[in-house]
Amino acid sequence: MYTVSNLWKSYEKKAPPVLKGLSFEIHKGEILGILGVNGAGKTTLIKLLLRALEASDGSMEFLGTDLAKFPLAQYYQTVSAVLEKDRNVYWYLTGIQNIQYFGRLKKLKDGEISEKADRLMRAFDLYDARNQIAGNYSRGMLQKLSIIIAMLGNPQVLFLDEPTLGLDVITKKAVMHNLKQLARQENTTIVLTSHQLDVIDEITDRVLVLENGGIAYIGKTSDFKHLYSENKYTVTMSGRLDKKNSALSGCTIEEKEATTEIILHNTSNREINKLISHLLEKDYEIIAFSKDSHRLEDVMELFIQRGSDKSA
Amino acid sequence: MLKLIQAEFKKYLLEVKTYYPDQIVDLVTRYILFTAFFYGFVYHVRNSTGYYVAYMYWIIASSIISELSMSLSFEKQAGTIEQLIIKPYPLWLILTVKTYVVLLITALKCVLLFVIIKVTLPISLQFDLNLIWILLVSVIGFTGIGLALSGLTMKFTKTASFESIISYCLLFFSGTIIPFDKMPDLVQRVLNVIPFTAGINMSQKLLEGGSQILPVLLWLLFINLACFLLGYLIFQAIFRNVKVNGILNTY
Repeated sequence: MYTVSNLWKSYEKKAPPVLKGLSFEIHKGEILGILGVNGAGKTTLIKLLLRALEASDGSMEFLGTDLAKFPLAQYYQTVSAVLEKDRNVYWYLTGIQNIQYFGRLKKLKDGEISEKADRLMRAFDLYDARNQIAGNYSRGMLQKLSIIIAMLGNPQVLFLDEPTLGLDVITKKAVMHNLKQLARQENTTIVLTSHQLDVIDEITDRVLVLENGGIAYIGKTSDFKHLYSENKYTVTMSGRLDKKNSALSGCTIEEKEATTEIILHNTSNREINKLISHLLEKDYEIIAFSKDSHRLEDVMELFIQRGSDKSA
Repeated sequence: MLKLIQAEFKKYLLEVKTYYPDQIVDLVTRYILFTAFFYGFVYHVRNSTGYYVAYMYWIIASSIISELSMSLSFEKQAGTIEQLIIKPYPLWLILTVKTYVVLLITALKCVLLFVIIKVTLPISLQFDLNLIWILLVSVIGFTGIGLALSGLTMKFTKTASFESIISYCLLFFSGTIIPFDKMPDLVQRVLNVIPFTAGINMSQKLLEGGSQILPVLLWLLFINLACFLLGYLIFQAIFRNVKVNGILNTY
């Protein structure tokens, strides 16, 4: 859908570039997550793809046509966005009036707007507040309203900058569910940024990690999670252990109030079986056994850490 | 285009409804201003009703010019500017339609004001229907100046002082403070090609019965289109610059 080649962006001539020669593709119908620390250039990249900013160098193609030459009116019929920092809606209008206004600016017919507004407001649990002034909405409600507006007119591409920021758990789940459905059923391409890595983990097909203005990683989210595969096993048992026991070498032992946790990192099934057999032989009571693996948050943390170690 | 007009019209009506006390105060203020200016100054001191045309031009020109930059400034402050630029209509057109909708409502308020003045003050106002054509053509030129100023607002955010300077200049060159024929020859020649003063001049001549409408309109159309084109080009150049510098949504 998009082919980005050697994309550079600096805001001022003498300032260091925010983006340094990015090259990547965005495929039709995928959900792409853009990750990176604060100031990594995530929003800049989204705004460049939205043509709200002009690139310093490089090229972007959309549906095989140079994006700079793609007719703007046609492009904005195709793409939509919710941008962070922006308010996205008018506070003196009610929820439904905001939807009607922005729907008309998208050249939609009034009947079509009403039908969509009705369906989306119910899906996002905003229907009962449709006639309330947006200024009285909570942050979460405003965010939901912005997403509904962005979804009007069946965009082929939806850009979302921090779409779940400020949302409660239930609403966040509803937003994620609706976005996934949009991508699967309508084949909508979704490009999103989020610092809430559970959101990225849950809904994205691929991730693009920005670091120091370049692409540090691009690929399947599941592959990224295995990049620094760090399986962590925890055996919880009652009472205390003899720490000098040789069977426990290489384990981390954490003593809690009435229990003890034995933590093993990146070990084999054989080693785990050996440890459990040993504990049972010694009549220790095992209360729980858990395996935490491939949490995106941990992987990202390691990724950033290793990146800064390299640069140091 | 119709969708855009419909969207802006309905939104502005909702705005008027929400902030109706401001509309009432605006009408009262205009009445007081007009009474003081027209009845006190023009009718008694100058003894000519033709000056109300200049005053009307000044109100319209000022409101178009200030509305264009004020609405852009408002969108920046409200954080909705980027939502507007990613819509199928170009930003300059959205801002212009917004302004014309405000102008239309202002014009309706002015009609109401004139009716109230007619009823409450012992004055007679001259009017020629052809004035409407001259005024409509002049609006094109005012839009050009307004677009240039809103381009500056896009870049510098706060441009109230620019707006005041333009507004005072327009008042000065409207011929209400110093009549055109009292100004130096060179100034008169320059003023004749400035859309604002040319429109006033021609409207006053028309009221005095000394002008033919068609050649007047053609000349006015030419200078107003030129003014619009210049303003549009300035707006687009600044818009591009702002996209390069990334300061569109900074307030």
